[in-house]
Amino acid sequence: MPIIQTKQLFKIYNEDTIPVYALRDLSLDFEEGEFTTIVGPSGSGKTTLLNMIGGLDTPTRGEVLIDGTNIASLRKGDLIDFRLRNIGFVFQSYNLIPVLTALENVSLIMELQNQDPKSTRERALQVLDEVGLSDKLHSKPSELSGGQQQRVAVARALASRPKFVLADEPTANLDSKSAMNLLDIMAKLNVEESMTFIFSTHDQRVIERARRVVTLVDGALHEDLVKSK
Amino acid sequence: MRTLLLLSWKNIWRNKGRSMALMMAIILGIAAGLLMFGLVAGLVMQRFNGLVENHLSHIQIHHKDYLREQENKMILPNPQEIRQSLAGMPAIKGYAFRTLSFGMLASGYNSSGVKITGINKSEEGGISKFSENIIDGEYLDESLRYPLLISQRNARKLRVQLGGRVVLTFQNLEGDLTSAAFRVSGIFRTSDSNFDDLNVYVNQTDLQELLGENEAYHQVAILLESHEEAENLAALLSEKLPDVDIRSWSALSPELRILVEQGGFIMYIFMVIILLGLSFGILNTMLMAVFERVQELGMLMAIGMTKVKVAAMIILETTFIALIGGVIGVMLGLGIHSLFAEEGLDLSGFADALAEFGYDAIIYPLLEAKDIGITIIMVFVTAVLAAVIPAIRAVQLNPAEAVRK
Repeated sequence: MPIIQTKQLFKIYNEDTIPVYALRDLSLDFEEGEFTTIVGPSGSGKTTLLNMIGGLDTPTRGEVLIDGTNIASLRKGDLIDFRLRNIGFVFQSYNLIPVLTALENVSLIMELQNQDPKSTRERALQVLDEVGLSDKLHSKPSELSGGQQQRVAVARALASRPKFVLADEPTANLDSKSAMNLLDIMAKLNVEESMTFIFSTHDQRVIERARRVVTLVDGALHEDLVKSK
Repeated sequence: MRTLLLLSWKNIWRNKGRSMALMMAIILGIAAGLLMFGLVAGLVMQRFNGLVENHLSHIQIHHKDYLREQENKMILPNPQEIRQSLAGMPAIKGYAFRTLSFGMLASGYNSSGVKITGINKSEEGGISKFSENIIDGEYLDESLRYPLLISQRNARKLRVQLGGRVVLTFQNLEGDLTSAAFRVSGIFRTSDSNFDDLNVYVNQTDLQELLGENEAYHQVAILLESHEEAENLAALLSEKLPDVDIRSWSALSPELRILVEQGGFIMYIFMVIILLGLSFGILNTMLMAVFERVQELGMLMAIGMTKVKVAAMIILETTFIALIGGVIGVMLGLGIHSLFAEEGLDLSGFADALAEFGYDAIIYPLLEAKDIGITIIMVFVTAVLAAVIPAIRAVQLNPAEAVRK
């Protein structure tokens, strides 16, 4: 069974006046362990699709099923808790908390989940080691490069062992070397932690690294290409 | 909770200048609040003590109609019975019988309408600190014939000096005009210029002689151990002495009662004005803090921080600032208070204006633990309430939009 399913997904703004279709009739399945990129021109609906899957936005019509649960049917409080426990987010602008160290930023989600401090610290140290930042544990975001900050953000997304990670243009603010380095790490974690990654991008080099490329145009599915291993 | 506390604590130091400015506002707010509480309480207490200890006392007894008619013939009936009733009452610190009249005080240069109070020095000493107001001469020098105490203002107005002669003209108990020459034995000055303009003091026996009745008493002034017992004791005495008019200080001086009752209320009005200013400062600062962190707050809500926790984080930040500001503010306020508590706040530059309203030129602040507690609570509640709007703004953010701003 797919870990994520979108069924006839529509997102329409100004439906009653001049409708703008951000997503139209989008049905996609994502299996566990996938390393998928969503591509398409600006305004094609990449971010909207990620927001729908992440429960940050609600569809006008259609359903998003995570492990069979229609997340639109969840109450607000349950949806927040669902996100906390099941979804890892990586944002384009890293969005680390500037007053916290790398270790504290990574520990944050587990602390919000009320995990015990010892296992929180152990897991945070582990994922920071996996993203190659074990020497930057006590550095604040301002003391890290863009690439390092995004690696902290990936570690934060992975720390609580979510069902999948959604990354919205994670390499957009990075130079080529940092972008490739980040992708290497994400690919490695995809294999080593069996983590499902879905990320949007414009970057052709990133697209080449993905094993599945979903192309959107004007909110609709244009192409769904699964590369052979 | 630990995460929220840590995050809130660290957040207040991300913009040190702004947080320090807010703390400073709270520190000054509390210090100013405490100083104001102290000064107003001191002012009210000084005014109260001044009136009570100079002439009002806690309870006064008069002829039934005296306070309404104020006629000399309305002397107290059966003063001996009154003395017996007052003797041995435990709440009474002391009492003095006074003889009163209204008349004209004249010198060769000028004249002035005055209230003449005939006092028994030994009795008066037990209830009044009036003798402390004498700035020149003696307290009714008995070696003089018809000694008189006159205020500095009247002495200047009438151009008389110590030992100088003035003439008092007033009605005797028969209603006939009588005059006598008095010698200025002492000159007094109180903090109440209106009182000074209207009052002269003479020996009770001299006044009684001129009134034509040796047992003529118009007033009994009673000082109690505590002013709070005045109402009860006045009621008790009224039952024992139904033929005379017995009133407590609050009935005798309604303006003083209002001052005592409303003094605290006035302080709270001032405090609310200070806190209103403070609340706008906090509101503005915390709104700026929220607007600067839209992306971060959006991220926190996106990853699963509940709205309650986001709001709590903003309110906790303000609470920390209020706590730090509060502690330093109380220390500063107490420091300033202790500076003035012994020496007093000298407002001699406004002495004349203050005297017009009956206030001393030197104010000794009076601060109670209750006032400190109320000030802290009011500032703390203001800080938390002022943070509610920024907290609401924070939780109203749409995480999907906020993370991309």
